[in-house]
Amino acid sequence: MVKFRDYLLIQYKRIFKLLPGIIAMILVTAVLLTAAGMALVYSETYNAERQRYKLGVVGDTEDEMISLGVYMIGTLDESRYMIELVEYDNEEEAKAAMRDAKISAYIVITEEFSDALNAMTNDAKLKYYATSGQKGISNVMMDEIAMIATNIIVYSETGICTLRQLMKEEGFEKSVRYEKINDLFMIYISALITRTNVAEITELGLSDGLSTPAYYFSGILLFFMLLLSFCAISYFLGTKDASYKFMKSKGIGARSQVLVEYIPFLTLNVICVLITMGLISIVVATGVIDASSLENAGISDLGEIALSLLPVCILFSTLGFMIFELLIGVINKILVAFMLYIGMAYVSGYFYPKPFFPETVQKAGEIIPSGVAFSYMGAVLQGNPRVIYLLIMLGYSVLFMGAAMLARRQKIR
Amino acid sequence: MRYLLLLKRLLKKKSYIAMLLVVPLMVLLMNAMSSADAGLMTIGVYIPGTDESSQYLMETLESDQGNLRFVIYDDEGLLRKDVERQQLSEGWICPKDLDSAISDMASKGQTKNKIQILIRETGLTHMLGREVLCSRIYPIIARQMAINYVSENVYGGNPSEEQLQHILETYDNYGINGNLFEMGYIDEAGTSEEEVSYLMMPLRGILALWLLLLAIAASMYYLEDEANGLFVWWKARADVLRDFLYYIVIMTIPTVMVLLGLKIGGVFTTFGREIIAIILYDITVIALASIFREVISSIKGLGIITPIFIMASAILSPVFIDLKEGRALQKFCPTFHYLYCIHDEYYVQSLLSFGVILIIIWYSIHTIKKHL
Amino acid sequence: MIEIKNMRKRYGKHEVLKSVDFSVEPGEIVGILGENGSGKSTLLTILAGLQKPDSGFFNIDGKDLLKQTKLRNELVSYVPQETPLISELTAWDNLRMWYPTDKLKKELKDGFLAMLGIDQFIKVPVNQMSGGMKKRLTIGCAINSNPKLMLLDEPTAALDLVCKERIYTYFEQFKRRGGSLIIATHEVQEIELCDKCYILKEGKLKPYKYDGDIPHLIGRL
Repeated sequence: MVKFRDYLLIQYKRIFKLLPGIIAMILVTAVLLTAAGMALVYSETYNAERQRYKLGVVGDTEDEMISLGVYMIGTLDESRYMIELVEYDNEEEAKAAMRDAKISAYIVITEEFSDALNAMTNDAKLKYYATSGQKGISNVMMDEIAMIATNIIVYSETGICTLRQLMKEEGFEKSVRYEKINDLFMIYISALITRTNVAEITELGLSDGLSTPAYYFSGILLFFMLLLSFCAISYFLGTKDASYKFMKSKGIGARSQVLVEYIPFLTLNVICVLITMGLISIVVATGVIDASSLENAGISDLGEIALSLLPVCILFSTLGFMIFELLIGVINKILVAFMLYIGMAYVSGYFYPKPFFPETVQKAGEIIPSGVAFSYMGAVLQGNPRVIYLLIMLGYSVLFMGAAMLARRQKIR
Repeated sequence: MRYLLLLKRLLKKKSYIAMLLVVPLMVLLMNAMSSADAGLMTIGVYIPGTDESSQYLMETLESDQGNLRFVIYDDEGLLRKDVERQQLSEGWICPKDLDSAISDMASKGQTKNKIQILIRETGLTHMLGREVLCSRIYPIIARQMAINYVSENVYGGNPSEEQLQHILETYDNYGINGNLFEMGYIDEAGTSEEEVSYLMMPLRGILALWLLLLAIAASMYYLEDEANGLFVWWKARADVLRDFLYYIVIMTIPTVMVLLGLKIGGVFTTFGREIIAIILYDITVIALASIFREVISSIKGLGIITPIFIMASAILSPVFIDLKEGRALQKFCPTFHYLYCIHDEYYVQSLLSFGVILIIIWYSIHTIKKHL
Repeated sequence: MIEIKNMRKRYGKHEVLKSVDFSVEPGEIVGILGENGSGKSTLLTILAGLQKPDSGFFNIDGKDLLKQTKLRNELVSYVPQETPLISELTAWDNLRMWYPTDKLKKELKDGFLAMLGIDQFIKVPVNQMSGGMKKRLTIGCAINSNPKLMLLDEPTAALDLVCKERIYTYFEQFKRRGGSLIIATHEVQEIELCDKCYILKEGKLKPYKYDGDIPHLIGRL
């Protein structure tokens, strides 16, 4: 009879053949990312322009209202810290600049629009092009900015039109009307500049939650850990039901088979995660990422974080194992696993902040395995690891292993 | 006939059918998710006052949410807690006497009675949040400024009740077209009229990554078939064409499912553009996956590169975020070209060129290997 | 006339085939014997065009089949040791991969496929077949091009006697129609079928006349 230990050793030998390749892959990726990061961080252009959102302007900016607007955005208004206007002679140039990511968006000022704006009829719309591709989240934000600008312009116009109408009714002369309209216009301009005085911002601090960098650090790291299971896909291929039956005849039943195959798979994933965290530490040490800014973001002890990732590794490894055990065929394994991973990661807030989603989805996102792992990591980064998350992750792991064992038992029968 | 039989064997597997159904299932779930109440930012608002300005603000926030979600709070303390716990993106606490704040702003351009914006940490979204608040308040301020100015300059600074009423009526009845800006696409031909929730935006990118992964999985399947001897008797004059068609067999039905998914998800544009884009994308990812297969030649190796390849594609392509840095690197991702080509014909051409180049590289590698 | 001359193949430092020479007459069955790992499968896969030799000639009627791949595909069929069948499909579907429908129907009715008895399990999926059925189906798939030369790698290993008999009958028929066979084998019955035998040992091919003395054969291997 084959012993559990012997079979385990065989599985370790099988899976550790993958280790050099995986380590090489992680190393190459780390080198490339570091090189790209260094090039970016030390690029003068990047540092100078990092804070500014470049908006291209095409068309005639000679018109008084429009040139005032351009001047304001560039010089007076607070938005000058955020936006830089770049003028282009024609739309093709602006398109090319947007395709090369030299500008984030461009607007086309037509004569129609200038006339409509001056006449305050607003019949013509100003088209802005914020993407040369599919509409994304940032474009949705651009829609909001467009609404903001609309609100401000339209209600100012209403005030000016009201003045004009009432002055006409009261029989004021044209020259006086013109003077007062101009005056009100300038008052509205100064109101526009001082618009933010109505509010003051109070920063509560990160007392209960993660900083944005820490949030996305967790999200991307956890997503990477989910995808790691694909590295060992060959481990799950090529074995026939006959082999499982054969092992059963040698005294290794479904439960033992699954455990014996799972443990090396888990070990491999743990090693990969530790290597990844080690490389991040090295990158921090080289100064590409400033250690103090990491600390301010709540990511301090990378070693402790690495150790805390162990329960997450266990959870994700059992999930991956179960999927690959249940499904037959390399295509099915990979595609179903991917859809599950990316769907879970999206809903759990790995890519976008949680308040982004409806409340019911937020709650669902928190209880699925990826969400529990995310909450656990959040608690770890805040220096306040909670046992409840560990218990839930353990519960999920047991459930997945149970499902895998049942599937194996079916194959043996 | 051979290719049809290869397709038949795929369809005989229950797991394959299950895999195909994952796409519409995911889209339906996303659709259900997007129909619920949500916003790019969830902003809690506390309006304790009952004056005209407070009522106006409450009404406008409840009726016209846009892409943001406003939650009205009765308890300031609870609002603060929810901001701290990241249940809210930010919180707005209005003064009890909002009328007085508006009056100050209209006459002096500043006020001591400010609206407090509570945030956890500064960031770009909060700059947007502040601008949204200012733009929601601004109509009342602009109205008050108009009333002040007209009273002063038209009615001598002391208008009668009737005159004041007339000013208010004139202002309120003035109908100015509120739609000043319109987002355009470079390729107007490729637009659809459907309004889609922002939650569905990543759908196309996710499905594109799924197809990319399918191509890599097809390479693994090919290697399995090769090891099992499928090509022992299958001699083709043009191996590359035979292999290409092998991939087509595997990718056809999932591609149809992706198109169906885009349709159900409401992000389908025009039939012509979608078909052309996805065909070119399929050709490109097949060529890329075949290059990997020819170079790496093992399932083990393909499995190892899969995670990093998917992550790189997800980051470099506008699946979740549209990075402006590293454009040169982004152009090596087929997914980048596919996502951009939906509304820009330029990228249809670039995707085509990319595909042709990859096919040439594939053919060259294959020929070199054959002669070694 | 089939001629193989100066066939060489090396894997790294290990020279598997060192100048292998032999010929096969039309209607002849040639047996290649040897220990496991002696290079029998390597020789057959080279002749089948699945790998390239380091040097050598392979001619049929003066035509160089190492260069004329299309002609080789028409004239030579290869039956590997494993069964390269698509397990989810039936025998009919697997045969349809290689035969046009009308030819397939004809062969199943009164051709070689009927002789192999494939018509009796034509609708059975491969994953439900016995080893013998799979082997017969593999041979059936291999002979679609009416080859002049068949290369078989241990064709009846692990098959029952009835099945073996069917296959040997098919070999005889094939031989009578002028076809030649090269069989890599360990089976005594197949050795007895052969008109000529060779032993492949240490990369070299030596003629061997089997006279029923098995210990002698083992000694020569």
